[in-house]
Amino acid sequence: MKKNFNQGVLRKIKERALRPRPRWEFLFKNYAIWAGAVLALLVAGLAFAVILHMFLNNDWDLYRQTGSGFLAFLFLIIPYVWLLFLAILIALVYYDLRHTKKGYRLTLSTIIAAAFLASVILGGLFYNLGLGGQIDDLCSERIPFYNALLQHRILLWHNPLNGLLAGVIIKVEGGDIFLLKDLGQTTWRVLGADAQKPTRLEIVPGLRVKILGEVIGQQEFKATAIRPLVGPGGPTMLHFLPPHR
Amino acid sequence: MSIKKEKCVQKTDEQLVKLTLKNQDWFFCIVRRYEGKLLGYIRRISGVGQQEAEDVLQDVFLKIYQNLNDFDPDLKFSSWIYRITHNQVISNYRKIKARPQSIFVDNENIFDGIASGLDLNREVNLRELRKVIRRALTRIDKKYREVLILKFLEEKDYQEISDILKRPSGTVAAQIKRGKEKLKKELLTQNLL
Repeated sequence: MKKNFNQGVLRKIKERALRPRPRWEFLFKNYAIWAGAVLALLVAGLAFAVILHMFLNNDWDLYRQTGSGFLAFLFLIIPYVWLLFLAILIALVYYDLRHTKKGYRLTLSTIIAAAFLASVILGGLFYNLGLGGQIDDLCSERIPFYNALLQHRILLWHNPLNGLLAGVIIKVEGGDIFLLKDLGQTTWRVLGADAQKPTRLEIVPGLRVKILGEVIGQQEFKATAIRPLVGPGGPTMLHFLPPHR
Repeated sequence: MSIKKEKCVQKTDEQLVKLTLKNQDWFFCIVRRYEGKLLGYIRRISGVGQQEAEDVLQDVFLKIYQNLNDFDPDLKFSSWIYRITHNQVISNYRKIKARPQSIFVDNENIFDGIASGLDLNREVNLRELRKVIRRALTRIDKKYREVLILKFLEEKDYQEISDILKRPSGTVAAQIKRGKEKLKKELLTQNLL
């Protein structure tokens, strides 16, 4: 060690007029990282609320109608986009927490498990406040590619020969008979007089519905059940789906 | 104002930090207290020579001074400055990806801790054993070498190593265990034992 190394260090500090950086700079950085983690967690909660909304508003009892097994049905209705988004947000929470002052003391699995649990709890809360459905609808209306990303869930209902039909009511003829433009832009005459439907469901033009039943003639469908079409869809998606199978 | 060496001895690290923030001359005590230890540490983890290590050490102390307000009293001060030193060495040598050719030590006895930690046959000549450990340490992965150096050569406990390397203490414990196994294997495969 050089003689007077310590004096040399002090001399350098004086020559360069160095000063300790102010405390607020470090505090600000730390708070910013925490704020980032909290924000990412809140958005993860919202993403989970949408996932919950999509799962809970699925017609689980109808999977047999789709002609596929339960697992195949499950793979079809999984909202991959939202799950991917949730995974990215949880990774972001991990990254932020890991960069807090003592974040390194927590293991990867602890942070991931805690972040996931927190987003489940927040997601449950947000779902109960109705945010899951609202976000889904909002994305469907505002984000051009959103419906395309989730269309595989809706395509499940684009199968009239297997008794599944979905689309927008374009005209009501009366006596629960109406015209429906399906996801492939084919117009169907639907006979819905004997169909089961939620008591509050009012058959009016513009309503998005999914229908169970059977084809009884040339573009004529007899409904056994009519349910509102929840989730992505709506008039915008009618433009990109292929003709019905 | 210049600080008398005797005054430094009476102060704890934390007191010196507070005093330095009021008067930079007190930083002399911090430099004096740690220059030897940190210089040895820099040489051990980077494998550079004395002159180069002193240049790095000077940068380290300038960084410590500038970041004094970031010191968290929940940590040991020594852990904090070892961390800064470690990071400085990493950033200096990241580009060249240098691997030390030999592990610098100022006292060969410090290898005895590793030898007993590895549960090696003590019949082996002790001087020879120290030499081979020194050589084998340069051949194992950096992540294991780092923890073994801190554990056995710098004599830090698990929590301190965790704070210096910013790794969970469970990970540190596992890496020490694995590092010892790797080192032993290296000694055997290279016929160093």
